Amino acid sequence: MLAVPGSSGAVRRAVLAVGTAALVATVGGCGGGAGRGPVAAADGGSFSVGVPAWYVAHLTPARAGKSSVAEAVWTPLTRVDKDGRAVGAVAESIRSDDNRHWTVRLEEGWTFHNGEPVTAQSFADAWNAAAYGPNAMPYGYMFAAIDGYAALNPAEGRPTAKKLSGVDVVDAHTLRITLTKPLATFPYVLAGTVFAPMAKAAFKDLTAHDRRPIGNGPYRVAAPGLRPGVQEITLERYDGYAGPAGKAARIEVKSYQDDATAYTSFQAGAVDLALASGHRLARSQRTRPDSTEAAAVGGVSYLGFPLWDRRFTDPRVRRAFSLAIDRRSISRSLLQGLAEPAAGIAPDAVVGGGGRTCADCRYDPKEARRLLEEAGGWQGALTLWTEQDPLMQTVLEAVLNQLRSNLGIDRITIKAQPTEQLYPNLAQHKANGPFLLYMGAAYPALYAQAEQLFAAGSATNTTGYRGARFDALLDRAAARSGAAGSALARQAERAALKDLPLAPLYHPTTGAVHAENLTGVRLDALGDVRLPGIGIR
Amino acid sequence: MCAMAVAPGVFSGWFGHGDPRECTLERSGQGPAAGHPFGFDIQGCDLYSNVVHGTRDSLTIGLLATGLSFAVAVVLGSLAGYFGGLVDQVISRVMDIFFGFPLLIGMIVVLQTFGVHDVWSVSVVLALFTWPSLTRIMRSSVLAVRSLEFVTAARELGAGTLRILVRHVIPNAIAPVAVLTSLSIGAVITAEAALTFLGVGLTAPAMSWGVQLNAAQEYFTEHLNLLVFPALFLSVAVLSFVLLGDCLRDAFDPRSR
Repeated sequence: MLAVPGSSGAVRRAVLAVGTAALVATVGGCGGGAGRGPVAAADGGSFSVGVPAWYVAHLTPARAGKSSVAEAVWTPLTRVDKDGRAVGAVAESIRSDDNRHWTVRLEEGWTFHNGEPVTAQSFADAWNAAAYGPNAMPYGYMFAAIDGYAALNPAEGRPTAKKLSGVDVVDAHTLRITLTKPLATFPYVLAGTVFAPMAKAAFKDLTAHDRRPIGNGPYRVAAPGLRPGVQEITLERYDGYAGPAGKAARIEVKSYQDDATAYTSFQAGAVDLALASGHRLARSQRTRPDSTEAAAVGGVSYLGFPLWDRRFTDPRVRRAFSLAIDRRSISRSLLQGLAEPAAGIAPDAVVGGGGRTCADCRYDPKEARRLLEEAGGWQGALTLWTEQDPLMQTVLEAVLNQLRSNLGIDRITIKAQPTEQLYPNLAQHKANGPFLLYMGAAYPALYAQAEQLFAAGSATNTTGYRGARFDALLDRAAARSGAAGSALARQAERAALKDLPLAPLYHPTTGAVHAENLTGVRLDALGDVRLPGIGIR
Repeated sequence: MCAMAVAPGVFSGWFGHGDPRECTLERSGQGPAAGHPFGFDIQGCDLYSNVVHGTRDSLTIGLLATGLSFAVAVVLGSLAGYFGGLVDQVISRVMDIFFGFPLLIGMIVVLQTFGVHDVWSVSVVLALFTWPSLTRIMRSSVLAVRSLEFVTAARELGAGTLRILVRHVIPNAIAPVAVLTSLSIGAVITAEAALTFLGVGLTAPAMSWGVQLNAAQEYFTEHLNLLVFPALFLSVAVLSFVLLGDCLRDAFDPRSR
């Protein structure tokens, strides 16, 4: 694990240290070639991965959010398989007759990293702690679908209850969950690591647990866990894991400010695996095609309209903007093919997605100009908003150029803000122009994406859209599972896009670059890598 | 260069259509072609006409910021130098505070709090951090001038303070600060490019060399022309202003001729 090319002494010590007679086979030369690279060994070896800083900022399920690191440390009740179905992980079965009352049977034999068995109570404890308002867990809102969430999060004053009334521990391996309303995609929701269980020992000191959690996943966080000021943690394979074991014995996780710096470190050979997007991914695909993975992610980049702004209340104006944007040339030329022009809010990678539900997502500058003139033309200045992200800003500049040349709007400016400022500004209706944003599905189902973007209560409904027909269709979609549910979700999507509160632009492709001797690097539907499946050749 | 800033249209039309706003995404990042000597930027716009049009904002900021700080320096410097005492104390301590600030970090912090990043706000922020050094020069040359005989003579003849300052002190003390100002135009243009490069200065669709360099930083390993041409113009501009400063110094100071 400390093998440096040319220092056989270190290699020998490392091999002795792990107590195997294995050969240290390949010491990879990746990128610049100066790094130590992945180390193959009989126990599975080790490799390092560069991740964005937020992946390891917190290590409590409802604080961490979903990431490749979280998925290595925890295993929730279900998981989404490669065909996009929700199947059991810790759960043996998950059943419901009305999609509102769910009964989950847990498999026996699952244990936490400290040896404690995973029971129905471990899930209930974790969920109650996550949903309890005063704990202020950032992802606590994801429990809002469960009965009793409101009592734990009153608008003012102290909560009247400490436990979710909708979560009922029947016996050690049976959990009964009642939702506020039917939700057929609930098994997908349970696949998120936010819904992972927590051990009894964790509640003794939640702060310490946040730095070195007791998980139940294929990897455990090695001591001393996350230390203040240190940007890396080490994951060790957990040998008592009840599911398919991880391939590598150790994974070093190094965090970086963003993907770009992680990629630069990868080029320098400091990490063996990093996420990549935009022109970095395009270049990597050209120069090292064998060690680059790319996949369409289940999200959409869209131009949202400020429906609170008088100038955008006329649907003809919104349609004009949508028709004036050449999605094809943005995807092909600007993004170098690493995007699919969007005609809906979710691509094929998402169950139910890929439908051409947006009639105005064509490129028709003549019609656009005609519609804008019909609506009274455009007066004054226009500001376009986006996140402080180089790629988003580049795309927005292209949109700006197209709006200027196709609609004849001359005074256009761009305003880029950090996400933590931009979203509150949108929520408070302070933005005075269309905004370019990306929205990834919470789980790979069209229902999730439609709910996030258009439902009245959703925090990510940035346009402030309210549609009675959409709401009715979405409620029906929630109550139906399988193909019928997907079809209803698509109808709901079509209904919302007819009003065009936002114009879908493209579905981005994301990717990962890895050292040549890493195997099994795959991207999931949300564009992240699955760490346990990665081995060293 | 100044002609280019005033009438970019004349220059940008030399080779092709000359419209910096006419962009075709299909040509994103392509190299030089007929009518487009510098090639195309990432948005598929003609790089040559963009660089030419960028001259205006870059030079405007340079001149505006130094003009502002020059005005402040002359006023505060002569007040501090001429009156001394409490006025001098207050002005000098404020200058010390600004000197104690790391310049670039100070500018970044102030610009972050600004809602709009246009030519005016960037110029004001740049001026905010360049006036102290000019003021200090002005103050010391006023200190040297105020005790000279002709100032005393004017005072004895009963001239008012304002008249002495405007008619006698400032004209005789302004030369060093004027030279330094023209020298700092170049530095301010560079500072604008640096701020914009870091993402806190002007933002697209404004056209300045800093904006173009900022856009190029992501792509320069593949499209070197995006970085080279704006940088070249920037260097030439800065060099011209430094030379201008040298000429001014020679003109003001007959001894070195």
